[in-house]
Amino acid sequence: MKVVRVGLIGCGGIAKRAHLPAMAHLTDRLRLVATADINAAAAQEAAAPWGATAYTDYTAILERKDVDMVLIATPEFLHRDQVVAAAEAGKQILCEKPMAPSLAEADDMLRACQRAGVRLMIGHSRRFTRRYLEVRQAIDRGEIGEVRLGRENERRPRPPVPRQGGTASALQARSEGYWIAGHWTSDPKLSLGTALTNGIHEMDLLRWFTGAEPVAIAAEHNITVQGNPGVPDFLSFMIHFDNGAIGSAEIANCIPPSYPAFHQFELYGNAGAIRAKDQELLSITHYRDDGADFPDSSHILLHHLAAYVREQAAFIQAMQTDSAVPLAPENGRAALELALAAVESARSGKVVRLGPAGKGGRTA
Amino acid sequence: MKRLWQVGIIGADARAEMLADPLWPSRRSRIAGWAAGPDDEAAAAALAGRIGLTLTPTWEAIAADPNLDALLVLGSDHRDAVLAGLAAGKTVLWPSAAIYDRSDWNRIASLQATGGRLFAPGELRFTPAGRYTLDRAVGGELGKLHSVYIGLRAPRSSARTAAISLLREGLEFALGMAPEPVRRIHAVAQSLFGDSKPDTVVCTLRFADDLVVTIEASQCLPATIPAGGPAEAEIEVVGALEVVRAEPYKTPVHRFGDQDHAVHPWVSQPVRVMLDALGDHLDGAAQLTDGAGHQARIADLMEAIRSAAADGLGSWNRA
Repeated sequence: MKVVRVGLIGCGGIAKRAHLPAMAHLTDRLRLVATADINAAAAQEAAAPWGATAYTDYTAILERKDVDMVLIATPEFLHRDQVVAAAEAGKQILCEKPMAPSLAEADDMLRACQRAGVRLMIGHSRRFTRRYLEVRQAIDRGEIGEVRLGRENERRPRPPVPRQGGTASALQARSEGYWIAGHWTSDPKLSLGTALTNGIHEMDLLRWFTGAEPVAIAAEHNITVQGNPGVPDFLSFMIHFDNGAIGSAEIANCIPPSYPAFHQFELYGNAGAIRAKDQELLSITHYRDDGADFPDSSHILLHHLAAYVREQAAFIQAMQTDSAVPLAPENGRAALELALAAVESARSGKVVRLGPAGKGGRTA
Repeated sequence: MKRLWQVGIIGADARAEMLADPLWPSRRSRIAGWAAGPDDEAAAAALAGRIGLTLTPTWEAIAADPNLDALLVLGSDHRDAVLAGLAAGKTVLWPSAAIYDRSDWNRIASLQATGGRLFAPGELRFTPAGRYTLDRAVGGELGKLHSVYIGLRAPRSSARTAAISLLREGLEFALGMAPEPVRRIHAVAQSLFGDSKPDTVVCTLRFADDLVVTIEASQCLPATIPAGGPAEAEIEVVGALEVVRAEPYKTPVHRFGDQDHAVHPWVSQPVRVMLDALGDHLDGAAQLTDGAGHQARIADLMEAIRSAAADGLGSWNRA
């Protein structure tokens, strides 16, 4: 099989934490040949281990004939322009979630890729996580019957709150640095908040597991992380599906760093149930003078790296075998539609009704 | 020495079975009689026998017995017994109270005006983990409260009103730390696992101070997942400084014998604590903490949730 030559657009948090480490597992099938980031040092740092060329303008990657595929790991407000340009340059495209900040932009992306005849996959990484793949397979085998109720609560650590006489401790490293002043996630001009940053994962999973289409969603959001200047970082939502099933989730991003878990997942079918609660799966606890620590629990339990390896491998396999991507981009649009409806509901205080099932939902 | 108050029990459901454990009597009161509720006389006879009591033939007789100071009503469907006890001027402890709307509450309130007193505090609040959580939340240790998640899961085989009872438990617990008025509710109630009666309720309550409480009450547990108590309960209270996570019914007492292994959930402990509080109340040493305003508030919220969920997923906004 031909080795796929990859250009990486965006070398910030998700590229560093997930995509670059995943690429290192796939050297038999891909080679990173170019990187781009407005932060030249970040682009250079990502490029160096591969001997790739670093740029500060992503269009330089698109002009290169020796790039087969681009991996877009930038914030969503950049996706439309980058995906459309990449499609017009004939590149195959794996793009981070969320697909875009609006349905209109998502539709532009879909049309551009269709017009250019290139593959587009939106990286909903949890669909490639072992835990959730097993769940979907169990559902397919009929082991829990029809899914009727699903919940996943997601907990993410905040930076430690400075307290008089206290110390930040080594736990500080656990925070991802989202939702703090200066980061784009906390700029209301750039981010719609946790519905798109985290909640979209749960929305996508609930739709995948129920196999049904949403008819209504209601949500509440709040700003909870200290120092967050104005973007909701907390979300609680519930979805009613067209087969009567209910899905719900609560996403909290202001959890103290010593909290041990990431996900609390429950799925109840009419013939059984599946649950995967991180708290019940912990195997290591360090007890210290100032509390308990659970080293790397979220990474171990979510199999974070493996999911991104699987996601990239699946996309490359589709390219190498000239077949369709395993996760059609319309799923990214459907998840985005839910996330935007959640924002609308939380802002208006009203339930948002979605389009009839099977009709493509709401239009842009 | 303080007087030992005489308590009559009405009801013989699964919760009563747990309470019949010989460890259960309170320091402030003792059981003086046991009657079947409207349900199972044989079960009541067995339970009474286990702790050396003669079964009183009818619940009406217990409710009217002048020698009893108080009634403990076990079971959510024993409303008539509760009303009879209140009408007889008794103090009635009803841990799993079935007060689901304002009209239910108005009826009870009118009986209280004649001297009866209902103590319906909710079990979750009185579990050791529940009390710990509430103390920290109310005491300010967690910082400003941002969100509360209360997940309550009952077996599919439990009584058909279980989800509604659990919702009430969740509200009781949430209101223990949320004094502000509720501004808005989103809710959905649905029959997901059985017949047409709703067995699942999911709702969010936004309070005036922006606290968001999410309650999910569902009779969703298949037989292979033992609840370990009347239900599974998972609570997370997220404050600006700290988080408390509690599973109040998940810390059972295990008793190991030569022949068997018995598991006794914490459910008997909340009732013991409630009985102690009841004894203090009867002594005049302390007031019961679930006053009429509190019960009316819960009844109103139950009604608001019902109205929000009347037609699928819907909302209720305070006018």
